[in-house]
Amino acid sequence: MSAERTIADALKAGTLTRCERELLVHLEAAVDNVFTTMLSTVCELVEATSAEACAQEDARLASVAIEAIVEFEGPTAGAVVLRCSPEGAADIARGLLTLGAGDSIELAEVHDALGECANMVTGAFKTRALDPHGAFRLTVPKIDTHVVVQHPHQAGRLVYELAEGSAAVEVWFH
Amino acid sequence: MNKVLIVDDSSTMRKIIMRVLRQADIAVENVLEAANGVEGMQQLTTHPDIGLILSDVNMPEMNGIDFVKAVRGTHTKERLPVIMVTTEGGQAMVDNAMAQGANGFVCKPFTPESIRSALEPYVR
Repeated sequence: MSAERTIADALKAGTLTRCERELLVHLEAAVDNVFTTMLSTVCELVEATSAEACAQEDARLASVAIEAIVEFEGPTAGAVVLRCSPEGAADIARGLLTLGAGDSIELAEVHDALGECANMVTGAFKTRALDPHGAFRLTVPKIDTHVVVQHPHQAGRLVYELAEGSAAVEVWFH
Repeated sequence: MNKVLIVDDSSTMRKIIMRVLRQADIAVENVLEAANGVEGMQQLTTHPDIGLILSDVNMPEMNGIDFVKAVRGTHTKERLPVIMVTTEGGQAMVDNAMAQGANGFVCKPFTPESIRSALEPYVR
């Protein structure tokens, strides 16, 4: 199913507000731009989730162990978060570094690659969704590894199935 | 081209740029790396024959804008071209970087072709 269709279906089903849809369309375009241009891995959008749904437990992401956070500051402040299962994080890292599925990769390399991926997604999202509304600054990526804690101000989430594992890209507002 | 210096806090991005340089058939003798502007300035002192710099903008210690400003304190745009390679591709950022002495700008994510086009005028 196309990314546009996934988001449109969620809108039709009444699970996304128009505002959330607009935000997620920009976020999806940013993710697509980065994944298509820089990653040699399969990536399919399988779910577009509203802020309300973000607050509920998502079984698919229960095993999420690694997240890369890039914060933005300007007329409003928030963050773009790339959250991955360990397999998904390694898949993204291998994709960026054009390594084969069987090639070994250090955890530090996975963390760095995930941070750079989040950095590029946030930059592309900033250009599309934030820059028209004023001057924004981005922080350097921060990597965290812990059990998922729901952020109280999530604005939406896109969930992707990768060749190995899964990934979610979220927007938070502080 | 003598030496190229890649300044980026991400080792992943430094590896990607090195790969793209090879894919784009850009003949360089040697590729040097630095994780921020401070390390970049140290590399310039150690290797005065660096002929081209590709620098990120958003880095800890010394960001890319301060770095290019520092480079221009000792090297002209003609003597040492600096190409910014960054996710921050907004017009205000481009204008600021160019005003501080950058020679060009490549937005991440990038294709090998966009890197080749940006570097072409400076690679002999």
